[in-house]
Amino acid sequence: MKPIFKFKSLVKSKTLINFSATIVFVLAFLLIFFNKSDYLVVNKFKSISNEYINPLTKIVSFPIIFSSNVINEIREYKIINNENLQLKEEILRLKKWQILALQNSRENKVLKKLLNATNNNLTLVKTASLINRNDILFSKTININAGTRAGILNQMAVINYRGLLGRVLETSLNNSKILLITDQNSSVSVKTISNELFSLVQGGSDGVHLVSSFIKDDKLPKVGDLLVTSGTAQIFPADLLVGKIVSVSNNRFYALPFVDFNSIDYVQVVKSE
Amino acid sequence: MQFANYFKPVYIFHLILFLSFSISVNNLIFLSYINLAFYIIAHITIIYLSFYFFNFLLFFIFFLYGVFFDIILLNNIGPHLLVFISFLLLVYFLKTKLISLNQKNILYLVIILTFMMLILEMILAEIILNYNFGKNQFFKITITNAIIILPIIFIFNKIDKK
Repeated sequence: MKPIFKFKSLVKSKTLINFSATIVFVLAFLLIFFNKSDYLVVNKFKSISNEYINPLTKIVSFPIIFSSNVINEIREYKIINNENLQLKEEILRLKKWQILALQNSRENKVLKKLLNATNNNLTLVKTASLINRNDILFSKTININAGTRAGILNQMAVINYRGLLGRVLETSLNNSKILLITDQNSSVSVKTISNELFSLVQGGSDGVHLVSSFIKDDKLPKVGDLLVTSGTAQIFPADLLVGKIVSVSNNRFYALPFVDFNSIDYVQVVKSE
Repeated sequence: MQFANYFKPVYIFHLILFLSFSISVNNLIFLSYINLAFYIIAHITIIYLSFYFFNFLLFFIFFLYGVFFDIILLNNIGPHLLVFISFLLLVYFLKTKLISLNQKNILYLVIILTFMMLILEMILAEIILNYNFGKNQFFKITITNAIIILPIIFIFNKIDKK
């Protein structure tokens, strides 16, 4: 323990300290004040953070990230035998479904032609991989290695093979920040597949579940209903898988997202055709 | 001898601060407590630097750390920046009172300030940016802080005595 409190100041001049304190304090308040509006300086800080700070922090914390990955590999290796048996059974089951799906797909094409229906297909803008994730204590965001150079724009939807992941929040030349649907400030307009009940969902405070923030006509869905994007908010294309309702209480429902947010490797940035 | 100058305690503390910042903003899914621990270490380092190595440059350094902590962890500027700058100003204005404190009181003060900074950041994030924190998160951060704070202060004192 230190014997006494030593207050060392490298600068003898009090004026310089007062001046720095005032400048920094005013600057801090200005930044906070202009934070919500799309002010140039704030955007510049965000872009620097995306482009330089995030990759730099990744390099610095490489040994820890590497150790974490090794622990993960060992953990996965332990359960690989069980997984193999499960996968063999799943292959057999999926082969049966594949035949059925091919038949349905052909039937769908014919029916669409007969109905002259418009296509709801998605256009893939870019497949990108995860650089690092910042979803620790506060917001739920991740960074991917594609930006405006790859044609990615703000508010584009981001998916993976399981369903909706989130939307593009910030883009720089080579990187983009994605706001996950589990973030408390993210809002997704969804509908249930079974009876098309429209609602808005946002991330829960536990960082795992989605919670309804608005339900149209106050009609509560049932537990087990599947949620897909409704496409009404014009941000997310319609019919992207979002999650499954796991509980309903106090005029709210809670859903579990289809995406496993702990194992995100590659993501697709998409837009409506 | 010249080489030893580069390993002055103040530089080591700044290095620790940068390392802690880097590790705390990169989520390690299966070692999330490591993230939390380094997030707390970053806060303790900030307190330690402002207590023992106060310098006008700290205002600018903490300003940058505050901004980037906020942007990376919250995507909005606010809680960290406000807490860091306010804390440094508080230390600056209370320096005459702080000098008279004995070692035990300083230890208590560091512990209390770390808790206060962490809790205040969460409260500000809730007020300014609408992030709600459950009891679980407060509990997690309090327990992690309680476990690591004494060993960290002990290590910091060892570094400072070099």
